[in-house]
This record gives sequence, structure tokens and C-alpha cells, in this order.
Amino acid sequence: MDSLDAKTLSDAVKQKLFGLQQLVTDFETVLIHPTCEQFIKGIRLLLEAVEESHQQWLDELPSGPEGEEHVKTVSKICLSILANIHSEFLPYLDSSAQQTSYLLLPTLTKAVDTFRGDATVELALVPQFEYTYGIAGLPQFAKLEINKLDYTDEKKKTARLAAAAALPSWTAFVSYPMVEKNSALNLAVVSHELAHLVDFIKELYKPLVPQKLDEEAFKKLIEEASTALEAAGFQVGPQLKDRIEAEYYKDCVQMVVSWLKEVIADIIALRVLGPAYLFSFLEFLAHGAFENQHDSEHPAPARRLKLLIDELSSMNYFKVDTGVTKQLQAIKTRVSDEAKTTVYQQHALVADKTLETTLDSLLTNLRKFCSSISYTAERYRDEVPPVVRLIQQGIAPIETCSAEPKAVRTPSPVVAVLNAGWEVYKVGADEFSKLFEEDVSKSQQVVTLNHLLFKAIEAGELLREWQKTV
Amino acid sequence: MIRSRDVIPSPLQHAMLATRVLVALDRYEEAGHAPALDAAMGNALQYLGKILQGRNNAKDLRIDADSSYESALAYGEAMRAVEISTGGSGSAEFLQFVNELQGIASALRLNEPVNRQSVEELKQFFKHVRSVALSSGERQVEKISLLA
Repeated sequence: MDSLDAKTLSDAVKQKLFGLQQLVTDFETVLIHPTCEQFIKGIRLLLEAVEESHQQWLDELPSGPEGEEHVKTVSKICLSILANIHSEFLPYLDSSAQQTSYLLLPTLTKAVDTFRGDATVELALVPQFEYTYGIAGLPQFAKLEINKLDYTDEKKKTARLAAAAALPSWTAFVSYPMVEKNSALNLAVVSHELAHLVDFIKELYKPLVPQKLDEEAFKKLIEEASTALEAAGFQVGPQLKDRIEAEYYKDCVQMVVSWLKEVIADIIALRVLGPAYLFSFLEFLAHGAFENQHDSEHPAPARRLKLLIDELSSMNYFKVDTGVTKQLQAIKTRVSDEAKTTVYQQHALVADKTLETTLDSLLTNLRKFCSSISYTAERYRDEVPPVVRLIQQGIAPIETCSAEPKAVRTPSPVVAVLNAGWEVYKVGADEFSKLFEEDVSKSQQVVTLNHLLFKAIEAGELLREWQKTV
Repeated sequence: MIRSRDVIPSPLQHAMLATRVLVALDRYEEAGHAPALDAAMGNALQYLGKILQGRNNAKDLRIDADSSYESALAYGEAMRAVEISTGGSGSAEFLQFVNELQGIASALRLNEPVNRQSVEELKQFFKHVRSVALSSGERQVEKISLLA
């Protein structure tokens, strides 16, 4: 925009930097320590680096029309970076201040610790008003972003990078719909987001990315696009065809990799959580009133559900009798019917056909990866029924007692608590209702059920920590 | 849902790179070869290489989890920049043009003689890259909604 001169733009950088630094300080005073402590340090480092880089360019660039043009460009780039920090990073600080009253983070952090290896992770939960779950994984974000900045003095850049290297190797924000902050049952779907984080850290997806897009489906896609353009009066010469190919190739590759990551997260979440993941995922689809439609990041829900059902089958859920067998069988029938009629077209067809080639090795790898922690039907059969009995008596299942003769009391496994909660909700609601006066609504009863689950998860975690010290 | 949270996404990086190249070329025109030109031409060659990689991947439908998307993005940007630079050309001309730019950047890096017109050609291309990259983000001036 030529109406703006170089000074206006470079002054805007300075003002915006100051404003952002002030905002970060404001958030820091509101957040409960140590929420986002390392993330804040990273943002500060990044802001200082942008300031430094901008100033170095201003000192370096010559005066005159060419120099002015460069000052304008460099300032515009800095302003875009600052706008991105403002819109992408600061909302996490704002949301992090709105936490659920239950102590969930220690349990989630512990779940990630099981897989993280040498990586260090700062995790935060961020409720939001959009009805969706999500994960933002930032690997060494400050170091990565500072490294992209242009410095004319490399020494200063090296010093900033060294400071950034001391921050956690991963910062992750798990977002969930605010309306579900008091539902342990529904929040079980967060396991899918944590599975994404595990996938990021362990790079499970990398060896599973297919080598090539499905040629036949891609060719068909390009032909369809060319025909549509010609019908609209465009002349599709080699140049336009190249552009279509390049654009569609980029979109298809992104879709293949995104869908692959979704399948990986689904399988890991299911392996770790068992039926509780399937139930919570179905509940999420219901609450969001979703249709069986794919998007650029996710395969169609029925196809995802079919994979989950197949995976439950490989975990013996249709062989071993559990408290939820009937429910699972009913879901299996519905899912199977819908998955059969789910047809993909265009980009989605390319992604689906491409991923078909890697599905078997994907499942083999993931089953191996989860082998020690898979919540099989046998584990469910052994661990869940005593937890269900406690809930049905209105007792928060913090501890369960092992069978005679040892009869040792241990904190109930979180996975058993969540599965028991879902079993009570799906199968034992009538029995649970007997705990309440007649005028207590079903929804209120579910609130109590969730409260019992949260208390069990929270207190069980405290108990495990306490047991470590004695 | 996975959210990408790059605060310096690829188009901004490309705009920075283009600026660096342009500043170095301005200085070269004024004062001749300097060490900063080596580094800038090294970056320019990397970028041009990424464009060709993006083109080859798109032609062969190859997928690389690390670089396919980035190189496809560079290829898309470059196609628009080449189109503006050459006034529109076919597939073969695109390749020829990028190869020519690689030749110019290599020669400058090695301090070999390069004519003024070639330097101008390289400058024009990176000016277009910068302009395409900077205009790629969507930024709304205002958001209006009305509950009707």
C-alpha cells in the first residue's frame, strides 16, 4: 500500500511490539502459576527477537527510494508476524485462565509422560466456545520461529536461539468446548488430541506416509476439473493444466497427511481408552449434530467409526463378554451399514485410495506401539465391574480392592473409571437413578455421575502421588 | 483437529528471503560483489531448487511428509511470479526460466561476470515473489455481522 510511508510502518512495529508486551504482562498476572509459564517466556523471547531483527534492518538499510521500499517491506513482514502472535498465541493465554474446577492436567500430563521419551512438554487445557476439540502442538516454537527471522548480526541471533533452546521441546494446547468442562464422560474424547501429540512427538506418521498419490484417482480429478473449466468457457491449455495440477497436488498431499494423522490418533486413543473412546466420540458427533461428511482434515465419520469398530474387534470386544457388549454390537451394525454407503469423490477419493495402500502397515505398527497399554476386553472384564459397582452405590471410585486373598486397595485406573462411567451411563442408568429422589432430573443425575468420575480421577491421582512418597 | 500455528508461515519466509536477495542485488549494482551477496544467492538458489522440487513432486505425484507441502507452496507462488515476469508462458518455458535464474544466481555467487539485464531479470522475479508472498495472507479490514 503506497499511501503508507516507511516511517509510519516502522513506528507501527514499535507500537505494536509495546502493546503485545503489555498484554503478555497482563495475562501473566491473571494466570495461576505455573500455567503457561514456559510458553510466556517463549513469547517474550520471540517478541524481543522481532524487535531486534527489525531494528537491525533499519540500521542496515540505505536511505533513498530503494532503501525506503525495503524498510516498508521489512516493517510489513514484522507487522504480519506480530499480528500472528496476537491472533494465534495470545488467545491461548486468555483461554488458559478459564479452567475447569477439577484437577485434570496432572492426569493428562501423566498420560503424555508414558509416551514422550526424552521430550519435555508443557501442556495446557484451553476451553473455547467453538464446538470442537483440537490440539496445537508447538515444537520448540520460539527457537523455530526465531531461526526464521532475518538478523544482520548473527551473534545476537545465536544468543536468542540459545535462550530459546532452554524452553520445553514441546508446548501443547488441548482445546475443548467450554460447555463440556464439567463432563468427564464427554471429555474422554480429549484422548484423541493427546494421541495427536504423541504422534507429533514420536513421529509415528512419518514412515506411514504413502510414497505417491493414487495415480488413477488423481488423473480423474484433474480431468474432471479441466472439463468443468472448459464447460465454464475457459480454454485449458498446458499452462492452466499445470496450475490446476500443482494446486490439486498440494491440496491432496495435505489431505492425505492430515487424514493419516487422524486415523493414527483414533487408533491410539481407542487402544488406550477402549470403548470409552468410541462412546465419547459418538457423543461428540451427536452433540455437534455432525453429518457423515469428510473435510480436508478428517475422513467421513462413518469410515472412522468403522475403523474403530474393527480395532475393538481385534481387542476381543466382540468375543469376550463385557458390560457393554450389546451396545457395541448395536453400534457395529449401524456403523457397518453407513460405512458401506460412504462414497468419496474428487480430492477425498484421491486421499482415500492413497491411504488404502498404507492401512495394513499402519495398523500393524500402531498395535505394536500400543501393545503394552492396550485396553483389551480382558482388561475391561477384570477392572471395570468393581468400579461400576462403586458408582452404582454413589461412591466416587477413587480406590478399588483387588480380589481375595490379598485384597489390596489401589487407586482405580483412570481408564477403568472412564469406561465404568460410560457403562453406567449407557447400561446402568436405571440402577444409578435409584440413588436419587424422584424429582431429580436425568440430566442432574448425569451431572452427579460426572462429578463422581472427576473426583475419582482427581483423588486417584493425588493418591498415586502420595503413595510414591511413602 | 490439528491447528497449524506458525507465526512466520512459508509465504512470510519467502517474502523475507526475497527482500534479502533484493537488498543484496541493489548493493551489488552499486558497489559490486560482497560476502552478503554469496549468502543471499545461496538462499535464492535454495528457493529456486525448492520450486523445481515442488514441480517434480507434482508431476510424479510423490509425497514427502516433510517437504511436499512446502515445495508445492513455493512452486505455486513461483508460477504466479513467473507468469507476471514473463507475461505468461507454458510448462517448458517455466522450466527454462527458472533454470536461467539459477544460472544467474550461481554466476553472481561465484563472482562471474553477469550482465545488467540478467541482474534486473533476477530482481524482477524476486520482486514478484515478494509481492505474491505478501499478498497471500487473508487479512480483513473489518468484520461486520448482523443478526437478522
